[in-house]
Amino acid sequence: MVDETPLIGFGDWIGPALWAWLATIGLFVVVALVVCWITSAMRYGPLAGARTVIGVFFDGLKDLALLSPRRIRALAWLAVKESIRRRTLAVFALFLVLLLFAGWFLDPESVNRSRLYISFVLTATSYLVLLLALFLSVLSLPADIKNRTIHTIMTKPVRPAEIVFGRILGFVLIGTALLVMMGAVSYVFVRRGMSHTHRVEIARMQEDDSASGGKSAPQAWKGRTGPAQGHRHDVYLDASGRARVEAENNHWHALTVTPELLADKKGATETGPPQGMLVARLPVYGKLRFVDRSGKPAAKGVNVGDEWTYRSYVEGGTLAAAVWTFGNVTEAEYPHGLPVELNLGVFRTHKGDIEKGVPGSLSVRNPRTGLRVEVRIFPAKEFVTDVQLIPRQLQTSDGRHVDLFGDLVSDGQVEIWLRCLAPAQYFGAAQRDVYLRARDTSFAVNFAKGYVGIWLQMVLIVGFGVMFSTFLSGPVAMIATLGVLVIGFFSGFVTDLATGKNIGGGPLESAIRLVTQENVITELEPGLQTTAAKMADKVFEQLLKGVAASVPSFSDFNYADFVADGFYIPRDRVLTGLATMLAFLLPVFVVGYFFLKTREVAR
Amino acid sequence: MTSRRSFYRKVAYLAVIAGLLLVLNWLFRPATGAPGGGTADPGGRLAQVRQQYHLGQTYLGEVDPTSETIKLVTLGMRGIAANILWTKSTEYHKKKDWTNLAATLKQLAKLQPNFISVWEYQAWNLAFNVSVEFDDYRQRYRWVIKGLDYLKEGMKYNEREALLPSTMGWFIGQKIGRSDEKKQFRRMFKEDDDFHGNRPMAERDNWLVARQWHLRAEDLVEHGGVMRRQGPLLYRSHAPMCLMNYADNLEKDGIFGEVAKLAWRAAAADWDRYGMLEMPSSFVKTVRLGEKELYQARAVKLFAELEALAPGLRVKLAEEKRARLSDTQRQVLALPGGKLLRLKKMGPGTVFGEMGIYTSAPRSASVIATERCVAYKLSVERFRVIQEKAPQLAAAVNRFIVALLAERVAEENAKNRAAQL
Repeated sequence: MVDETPLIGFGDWIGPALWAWLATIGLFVVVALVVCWITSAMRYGPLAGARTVIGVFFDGLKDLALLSPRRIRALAWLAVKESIRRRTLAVFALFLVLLLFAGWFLDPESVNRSRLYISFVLTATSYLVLLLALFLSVLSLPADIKNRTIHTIMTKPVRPAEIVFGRILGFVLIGTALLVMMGAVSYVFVRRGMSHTHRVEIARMQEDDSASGGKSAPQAWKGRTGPAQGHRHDVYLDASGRARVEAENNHWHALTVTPELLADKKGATETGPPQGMLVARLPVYGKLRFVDRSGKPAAKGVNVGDEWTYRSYVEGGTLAAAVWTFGNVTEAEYPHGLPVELNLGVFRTHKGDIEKGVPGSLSVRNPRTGLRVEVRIFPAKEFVTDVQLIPRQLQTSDGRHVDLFGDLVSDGQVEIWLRCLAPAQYFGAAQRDVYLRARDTSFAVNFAKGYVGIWLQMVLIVGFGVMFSTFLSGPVAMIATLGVLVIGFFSGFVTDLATGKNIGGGPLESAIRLVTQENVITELEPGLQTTAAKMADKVFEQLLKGVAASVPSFSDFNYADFVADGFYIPRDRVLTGLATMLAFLLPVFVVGYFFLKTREVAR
Repeated sequence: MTSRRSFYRKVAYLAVIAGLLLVLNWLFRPATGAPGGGTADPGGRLAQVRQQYHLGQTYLGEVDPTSETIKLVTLGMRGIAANILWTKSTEYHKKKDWTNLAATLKQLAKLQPNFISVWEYQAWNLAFNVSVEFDDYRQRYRWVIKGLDYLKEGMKYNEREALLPSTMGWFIGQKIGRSDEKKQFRRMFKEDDDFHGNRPMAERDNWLVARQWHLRAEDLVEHGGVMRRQGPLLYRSHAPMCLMNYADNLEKDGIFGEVAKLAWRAAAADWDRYGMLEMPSSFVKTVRLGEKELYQARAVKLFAELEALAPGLRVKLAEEKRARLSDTQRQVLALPGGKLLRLKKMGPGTVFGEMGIYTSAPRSASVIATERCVAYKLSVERFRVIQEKAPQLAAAVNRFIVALLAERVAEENAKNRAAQL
């Protein structure tokens, strides 16, 4: 699986992140207080203004401290009822219709069907739910204020904080219910979309000479399955009726051949359902370092000219190697040996032997003693996950027997060395290309976690929507929330723009380039116009920096790739997401509360 | 009073609506076919124009509901959507995300099903660029086939575009028959039941299949299709070339004897057929490539006729022109083949002919000025005078010439060494 974000544990992340958050919030509170004081000072004079601001501030603190769960529950229930009355559930029907016609748009012959289906359902759900959250949250409060129905609540003994919180909670509940329903239907859709069997005609299988060895050896047959979903599998069958279906398009099938079928070699049978398609591998990643062609440590491998520098390459037939160091490797965790999965890039500088993969070697080294044992030599497979088991008992090149956990692992650490053996051919490796597949977790749970990512985004949108609707009219609040959504989705681009990394400059510079048909990399002609444009862009950059910092990056909550590629969504990732969501939601809620409190209607 | 006024206003509105409807009807009324097959009603203005320029969706090829839905859903922002998809596809290609690349290309084609270059370019992208990204030749083959399937899909939407079947033939011929993996590809292609369906084994050679596609393209052009970019001289040569390649490959596969002979004979016959086709030409209206001898004989005859009109005139004219040439031009004309061999090109500040001063031998090469220039001459006599009157100056000239010669020798050596490598 390709993941270009660095691996950071939740424990390492939360400390600095928390401090940064507290500092930002502190600064924000100070700035907000000063601005409020200036505005009220202009109205009531400096002293009275200060008194008002401090009064409101402490009132607010009291309000927030004395939230009543009972009243919040009642208000949330009100929001839920209101949403249902507004036929929110029609979105679910829309989703069903979407799934009905999805088959038209999804490539039936895709080589990675599960990936396509899972990405589709997750994307469709997130768009629908986020739009729904947007409409629900921004339109409700302004409508209440306009119809004056808000007075029926305001006259009751409720605090404005409870109104804001109740709304958020209510809409989140509705969104959650929808997400659960959509998730369940999607799960069935994906499962059904994957299911297929192949027909195997025993009569058409041919004798396999390569497997039988000599004349006395038992007979073996090979053949191909019938087509289904745009692919076929190779099938190998031996005299005892054991059948093996080769993996194709990331899955394989179970096949049982009854003795009767085998005996007269006629007729046909069906394979079992696909296996290995919908999985959630739990990978344990190691730390990657490189060794150059002369055996010295190197920061990186060779660049073979790829524009995309995710993988770094090691040269074949030299001492160059990619080395992964794994920690916490214990006997209890891996009783049968180390299950290693490889995803390699292969780069040939000459044709070599086309029929065979470029040979590579995998060895295990003890980082303390330096003892290294070659585990096996294998032909490299590209764009396919290659599964290798490093056994408990290994043999060194001079014939000594060594034990994996006794001799090669020290303090739970072990190194795995990857080398390319063919001269002038290259292997490409990235940190996440080699991992220990500790075990598989439940796909259904992982799928659900993918929906948790969407849920986090939905909560944020509801929060922002309600916050904006406390002081803006419905349509304006909608535009504002939509802005948050768009900036959040394109946060990478916005950050690039804010830090001046974007090629072609800021808005004014780009506008000049557009009009003058200048390309994006040539320097603009120096002059007053250019200087002015650049300075204006600098100001814009600063503004954008503020915006980028106050809007969450929605791609951080997107776990679709994990689910689609069949990887366990790391707990750290979800925890980080949850913490980020709360870090944004809390200030958003407080701001919303203050706006509602200071509005005329609320008094 | 007010109610009457509002009544009038409504009547006016109705009249305007009716008027607009009439205009709409005149413009947009669809054409309807008569039961017999002809058109009962040619339709509105737009329908007629569409008919006239063959722009109707049904004329172009199959109408796909999915594609139409996608086009409608983009609400006129089809160009932007296509741009975004195109950028995404390059990004996926860069990041080697083949699943998403293939999916994006499908969407792209559905969005612009009648944009021929998209089909052509992206099919080529899949079959040639993406396929080589894979290390395993079997996977490479599958992506070549994916490219071919993509083209086939394109043909469904564009039934009259001869470029697509022609490209298909080109890919099947060149990619499968000429790439590094041709041995494996040709073998796999023969065994590919999914691609061939029930085509008999003997006809599954990639060059024969390619020929079928080229013939189909030719056939399309003959029946009202369009061939973009290629003239008949080119696209009609593909089919006979396929037969030659087929025969050539038979021998490369180790099949000689009667079979190979027959294949060559068939190729020759097809090449003759190509030679007898009428091709547009820039000299006369049409030519047949196979009739070269005929044209040559005709030229000889015409030449003789011309000579007979005024005997000796041609020779006389030639001699007059020769008389007008300069000495150098005449020398050049006398060179073998009458051609100049450029040894070196020299720019301002160059010295040449210096060897003659010392050896008093004829110069080893001629210098011809290609444009107006200023040249200073140093004769042997004048140089002798300098040697007597100002020996220091002469020594300086000598030193300069020696340095120049040394430089030239070094240059020659380098050239020789490069030639030996």
